[in-house]
Amino acid sequence: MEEATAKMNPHENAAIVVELVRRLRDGGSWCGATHLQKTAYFLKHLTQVPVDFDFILYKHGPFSFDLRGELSYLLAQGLLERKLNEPPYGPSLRPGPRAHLLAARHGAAADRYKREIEFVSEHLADKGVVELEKLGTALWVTLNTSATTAEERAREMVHRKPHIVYAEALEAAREVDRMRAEWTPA
Amino acid sequence: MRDVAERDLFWERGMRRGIYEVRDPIHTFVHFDARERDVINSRAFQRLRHIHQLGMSHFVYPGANHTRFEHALGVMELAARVFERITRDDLLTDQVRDLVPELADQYQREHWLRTLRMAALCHDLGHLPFSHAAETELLPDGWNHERLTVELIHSDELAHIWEDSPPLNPDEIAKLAVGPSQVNDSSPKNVEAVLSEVITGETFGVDRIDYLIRDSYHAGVAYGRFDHYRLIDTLQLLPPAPYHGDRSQEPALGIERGGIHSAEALLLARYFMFKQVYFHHVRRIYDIHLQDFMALWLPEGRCPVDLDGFLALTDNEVTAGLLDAAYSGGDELGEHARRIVCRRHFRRVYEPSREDLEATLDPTGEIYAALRNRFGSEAVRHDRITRASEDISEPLEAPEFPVLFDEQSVSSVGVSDVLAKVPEATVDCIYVHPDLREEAREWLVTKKRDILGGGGDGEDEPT
Repeated sequence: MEEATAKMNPHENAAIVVELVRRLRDGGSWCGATHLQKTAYFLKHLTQVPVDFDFILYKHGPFSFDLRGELSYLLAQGLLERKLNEPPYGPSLRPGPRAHLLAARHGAAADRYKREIEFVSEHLADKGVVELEKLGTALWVTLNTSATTAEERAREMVHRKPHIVYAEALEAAREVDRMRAEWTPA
Repeated sequence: MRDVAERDLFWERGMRRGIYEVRDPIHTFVHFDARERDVINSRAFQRLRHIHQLGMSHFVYPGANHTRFEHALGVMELAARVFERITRDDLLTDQVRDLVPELADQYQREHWLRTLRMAALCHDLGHLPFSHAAETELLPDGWNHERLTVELIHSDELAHIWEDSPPLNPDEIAKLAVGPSQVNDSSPKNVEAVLSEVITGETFGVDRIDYLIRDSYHAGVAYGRFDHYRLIDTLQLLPPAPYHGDRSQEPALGIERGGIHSAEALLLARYFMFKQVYFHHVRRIYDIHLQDFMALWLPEGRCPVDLDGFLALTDNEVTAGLLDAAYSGGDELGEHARRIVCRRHFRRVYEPSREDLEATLDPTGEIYAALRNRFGSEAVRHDRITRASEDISEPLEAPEFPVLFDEQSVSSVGVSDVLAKVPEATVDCIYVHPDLREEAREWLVTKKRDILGGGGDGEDEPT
């Protein structure tokens, strides 16, 4: 699968992130920073939306320090905001008080990738961080290692993330295969 | 360590070599062994004596002349304290022992402590003159100070130190020194991910703890001080806070409940230091002027990335160049130099108000474009912190972290009203040539409403 390589305008990048947050929340996602990290990984590396974030396999699966910085900027600009939840739970993200200005000016970028955002949201919005970590790691292993079969990839996942049980890694690898088979680029 | 004899030899050598100490105004004493002393005596590390920790901030805070040399020593001292704390046997949960077994084994733990200390010592080796100020535009594509740091860690000058017994792995040192995102490793090991947080972690990284306290002390700004002794004494590796009953397994650096006030003090100190010192508007424009100067002064407008050329370039050479240019010529280089040396810096004329931010997406961008059209691009500068900016590599908002509360891990913002409300610190303002300040301000008073109502996008990038 071709890797997305074209860089996106920073405002368009921001518009897509905010729209992804909106769709995830609409789909019932808790939408914490970890949820957003994993779903953004699928948006870029499964549906090929050229968002300007590089990912490594780090905390809880694929992680982008670029996206971490982007979230910080969007929070500072009021384009996203944190919704505090009752302890013990962490905060969630939601569109901020100025998000409507971003949508009005750069909504076309989010519209251009509406199909991709909807696909990722529909498949991942109902997943918790544990499941997203497994799926994200499965996709990462699929795209970045020489392992081919689901079994090989599951073993690779367990090697890199020992806390993931083999049976669950195998199911995650198969789920990723189903998603990749179902996604058809326009 | 292959056998008991080798382990005993390791300890014996350590005892024979002795421990050295140097006084430090922040930590009282910094201790190091002979091998660390070899690193300290290297050309790469000694160069840090001539790199200001706070760039050009001494033009605003005259006492801020401290350097990255003593900061790196301080980070090493703190890194060891944190490591000893979080790897204490009674604080390592079964989950952490399973995921990071290296921390539960005495001899592997000793290896990782040595690696961490060296990483702390080396973490700033690759800084350009005047630290972040000159980096963004002055290095070739693909280069930053982290990459230079990694190159120096792998250089011939330091290689013999790593090869000494017991051997240290420069790849591991580099990963802990600059964080996994800056090293060509897309899948760090659990122990590397955990320990990289000790130095570069966005909440409790000791790099931040040392520079906040040290910068506060030297700048004479009281807001940066907090009880870091108490904070370190409550650090622990914890599972992340849950999301609606769902919790990831990988540990993160958090605190016991008793440390919440020291953590609040840290994050407030961070916010105040950003607003008062790091984002001070005069300091920021000096950074911009320095960048303009160096782009003309350096051969081909680029800092050298060959190690000999890089190590030969410090604040001293740049300062000499500034003084020479400021007083010897009327050319463009002299003009840039005089903005710094003779305090002919650009003056701030606009920051967005709440009303402006409610009216349009990018008011500063629109004002910037309009001022450039009116007064010329050379007379106007826009300073903004964006995700792409190289001069801040941490969140603008107070980071979230786990807190051990009644034997479970909870989110910091859920248990602390203070942490939930610490605002983001950011920068977004416009400067003009000092001779145009009054005219620009008067012009904006009459034109701002038209500019912001015009529907422009302010696409120009800040310079």
